[in-house]
Amino acid sequence: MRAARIAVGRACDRVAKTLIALRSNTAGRPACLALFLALTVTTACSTEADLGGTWRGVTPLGAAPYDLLHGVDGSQVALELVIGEYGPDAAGVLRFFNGDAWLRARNPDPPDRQCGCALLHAGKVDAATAQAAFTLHGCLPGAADRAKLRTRGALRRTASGAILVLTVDEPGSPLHKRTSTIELEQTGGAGDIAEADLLCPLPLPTGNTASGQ
Amino acid sequence: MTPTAARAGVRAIAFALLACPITAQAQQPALRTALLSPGDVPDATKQPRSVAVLPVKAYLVQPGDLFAPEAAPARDLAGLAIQDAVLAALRSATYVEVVPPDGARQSLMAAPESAGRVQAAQAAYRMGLELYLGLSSARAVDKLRAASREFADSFADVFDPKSSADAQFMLGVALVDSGRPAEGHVAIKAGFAQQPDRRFRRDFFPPAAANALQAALTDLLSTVDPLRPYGDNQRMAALARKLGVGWLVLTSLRKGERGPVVSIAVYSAHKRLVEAEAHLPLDQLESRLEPFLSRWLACVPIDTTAVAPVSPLRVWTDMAVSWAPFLRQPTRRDFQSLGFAGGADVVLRQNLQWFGRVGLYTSVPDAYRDLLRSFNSVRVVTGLGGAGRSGPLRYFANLGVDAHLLGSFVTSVDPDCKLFGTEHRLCDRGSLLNLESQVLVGAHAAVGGQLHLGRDFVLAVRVSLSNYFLPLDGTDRLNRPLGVELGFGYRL
Repeated sequence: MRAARIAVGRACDRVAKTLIALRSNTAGRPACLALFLALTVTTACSTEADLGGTWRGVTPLGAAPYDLLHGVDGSQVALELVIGEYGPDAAGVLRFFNGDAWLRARNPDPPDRQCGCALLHAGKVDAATAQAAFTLHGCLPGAADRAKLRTRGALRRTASGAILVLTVDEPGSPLHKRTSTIELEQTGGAGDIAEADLLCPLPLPTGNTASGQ
Repeated sequence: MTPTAARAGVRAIAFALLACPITAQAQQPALRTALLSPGDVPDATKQPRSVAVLPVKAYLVQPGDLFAPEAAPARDLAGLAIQDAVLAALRSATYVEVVPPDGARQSLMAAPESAGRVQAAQAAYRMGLELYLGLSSARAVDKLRAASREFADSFADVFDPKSSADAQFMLGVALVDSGRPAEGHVAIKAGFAQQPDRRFRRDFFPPAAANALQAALTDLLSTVDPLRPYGDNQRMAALARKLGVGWLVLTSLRKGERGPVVSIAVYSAHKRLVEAEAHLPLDQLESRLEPFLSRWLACVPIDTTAVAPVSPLRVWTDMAVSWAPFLRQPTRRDFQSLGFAGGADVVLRQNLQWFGRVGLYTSVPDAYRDLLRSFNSVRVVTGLGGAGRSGPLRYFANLGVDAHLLGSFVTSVDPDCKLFGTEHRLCDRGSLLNLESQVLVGAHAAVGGQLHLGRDFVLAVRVSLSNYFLPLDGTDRLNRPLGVELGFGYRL
């Protein structure tokens, strides 16, 4: 895909040069040629990192006791990242699932009711390096206190998929500087994102809701 | 119009209907020459018929008088009288633009290539003459032949017949001197055809040449066509084209059994033939010349500059694909609008048209997807324009009013609004721009052309630009649509 992007970019360069050359001799050229060339340049020359879509972890997380992400009871956790790429910006949601049956079907039950998902904030895309960086605000499955953590995420496209690196950036937390590197595979393109893929309800309120405390 | 003039007009119409060929009557049923009295106002849309009157040629010199220069040159006075009579008759007619002989001479002499040709002819003539006097007749022939050709090509026989004829005479004499009497006879005859009233001093030429001159003149007088004193139809066509006239009046004077006879021919450059001719006794010229010319003019159509409309209105319709990007837009990267536009140009007057167009557009996403949804819009433009034609191309420039009804037009730079929707809690509402269902109104300008493809079909190209100014607070973010249209049309 990246090679195709580079090819398109070069083609766009050639088209642009052709347009410049045509400017000195446009009188005898059919107007439709200019129209289609202009449309080609304006529609095909967008540069994207091609990170938009749905990504899932290749293997469940939490197998090792020191993994950053794991289930409440030590079970494995599966991960899904839905990301929308809009030029230099990105938005999305990171969702966690029980990892037992992940490879066969998506288990609708999150591994942790209060840490089932986190929304991406301040997502930025570097199309030149095919990377995206964002911040997560929320608890991570497996964290002992369910406290909201500030976690930095870095998504980098690779030849076979993408690598997601999550790094806790919460000074004072025992998880500070803890990192998890997750290999992802793309399971859906940017145009395949459905509303259901983006669901990330607010965490349930804690405490005695009946008394308002 | 006075009763007398009216009667004259009716009489002239009746005369013309009887005299004109059937085709001429069908094309031009009304008589135009005699219908205007001095009090009438000429029709400004009618173009005058341009007629050049060439100098009169007189075939009055007989072979026996060829070497008698003291003989009275009777032709000068008669020729001038004929010329004046023809000019007076033509100038009294309406819608006729007369080029007199002097004007024709000056026009031919002032032609761009004329001076060079004449100089070359004169130089060749001088060299030929020197060679002939130097007893190099064979070499003189080449130079004199070249001189004759240059004189003929520049129509010097019209504005300087003596020089042109001299070249022919000397060519003929040189040919005779070279032992080529047949060719010499033809050349000398051609000289007399250009200047038939030429005489020579006695004993100027050797006897053989003198005999050849007399024989050639005898031959010319017996064979000349008095209706074509300046050459055949092809040469007359070239001459008319060079003078820029539609007709040539050719007159000649020759001896008849009962006195001199004037031959008049009217050559039509359009038809490339002599379309009227008459042989009139000189003493009856005054009474018969004007009816002859009137009868001819009655049958000659008059071109008009006014456009004869086939229908009260001429309508040019077309349907085109349209590309309409906005030069001012709220998105960070350009988005395109593509669609179809159709309309009509209604020709109100020769160069004035009313136009109306309707366009339907849909947007193509921008690179950053700042335009949250593709939006559809409808444009209506109308106004007035100027149009012109150049060959198969009809071009125009229009000015008018543009009303643009926007569909759902919502933009944002917040990626959360783009991914989760504008109702999501993460979507920054302040980043939204909603121009849904607004109507933008402004000025519109367009230029374009319609290339005639065949029958009434045209290839239509149009480039336009609008600038919206209404509503007052709604045009600062989305404005100035540039339009490029390419399509096909049909003229109704």
